[in-house]
Amino acid sequence: MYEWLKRLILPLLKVEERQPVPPAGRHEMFRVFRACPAYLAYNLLFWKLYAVLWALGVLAGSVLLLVISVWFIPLIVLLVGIATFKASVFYATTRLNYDMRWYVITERSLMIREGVWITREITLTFANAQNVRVKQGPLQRLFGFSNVELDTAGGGGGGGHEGSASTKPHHAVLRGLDEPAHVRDLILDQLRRHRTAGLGDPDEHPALDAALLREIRDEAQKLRRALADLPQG
Amino acid sequence: MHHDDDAHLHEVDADAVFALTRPDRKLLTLYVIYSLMTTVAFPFAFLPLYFRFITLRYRFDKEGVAVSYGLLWRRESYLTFARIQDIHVSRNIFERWLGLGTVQIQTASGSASAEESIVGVRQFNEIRNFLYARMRGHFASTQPAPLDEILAGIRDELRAVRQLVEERRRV
Repeated sequence: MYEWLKRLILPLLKVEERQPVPPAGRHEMFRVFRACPAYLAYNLLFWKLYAVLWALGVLAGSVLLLVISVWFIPLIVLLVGIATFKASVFYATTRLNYDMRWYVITERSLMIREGVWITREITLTFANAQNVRVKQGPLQRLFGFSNVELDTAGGGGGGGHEGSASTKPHHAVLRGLDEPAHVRDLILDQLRRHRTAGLGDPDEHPALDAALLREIRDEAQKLRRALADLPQG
Repeated sequence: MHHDDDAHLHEVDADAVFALTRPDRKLLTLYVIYSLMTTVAFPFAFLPLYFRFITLRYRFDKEGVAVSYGLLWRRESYLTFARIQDIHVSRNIFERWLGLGTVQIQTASGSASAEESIVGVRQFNEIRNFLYARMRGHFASTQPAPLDEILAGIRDELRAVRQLVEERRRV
């Protein structure tokens, strides 16, 4: 049922279904992560709550209206129709949101693609990353997944509710990971390769001339040989 | 539609990005849609957007990108590629229908919104690739670092020299 609906809706939504590819250049490492099934179950829990509340509300309302008059039946049908439609849209969006979620990690960059109504692609390099956090709420703990968050330099955000947190500037969230420690370590490994502050000019390291240094080494080597050949005394 | 499966395989088409100076004409359609959504406030919503559309200019050069717009109150912002922290490509459903996209560029400033937005472009993927290839950290790990090795070599050589000299002294 859902798959059929998906085939129907996706062309209308014009969402890209494929996994995103990191742009430009060869990559030594290329790992694709997705949200785990527990994340879908977690989100569907909210849908179930929503559906149950609506069902109860519509049921109570219908009974009340029927008690008053039988002529309210068309109104009741309309109410049930609206409720069913809203619930199915919510369901489809939840499922699609899970299906359209991609995390790509290369040795240089992180890329996140998500969203159904508004699709977003975040690209950042680890040289710019400031810190990595693993976050897990009590309910998320129950389901057994965590979010991994990554900040880049620069402030902002502040406002904005939790739901859109992954789209805040200077902030990237990999939601619903069942192996957060693994992903965090993978990211930290990449961060360690960039020992700069994550700020400033591209050439923070003074450009050392390798040829010059090699010359110094060769000079020292010659000096040692000369000393070794020195006659005793 | 520009859906380039192998975008990561071939070189970024820099010339196409450098040639970009204006948003796509369909951006105006998008602005009409946005304005229509305000219903009665349509003229008030549309006029500023219309003027923004006709004055919007992009300029990509070797070091950075400039975005300027405004009729009475003009603003032009310029940022250098090397300062880019993260790149966001966002497309809402109307943009997707029109084949447009918005590229938002963040630098390390404190502002909450994007420092520069390149709106209403078809080449959002090309621009993203273009910026990615120039942003900070892209080349950092691609360059091998043999410097440490050489420095260690120098140290070892000098240590050997010192030991030799010390031996000769003892004799």
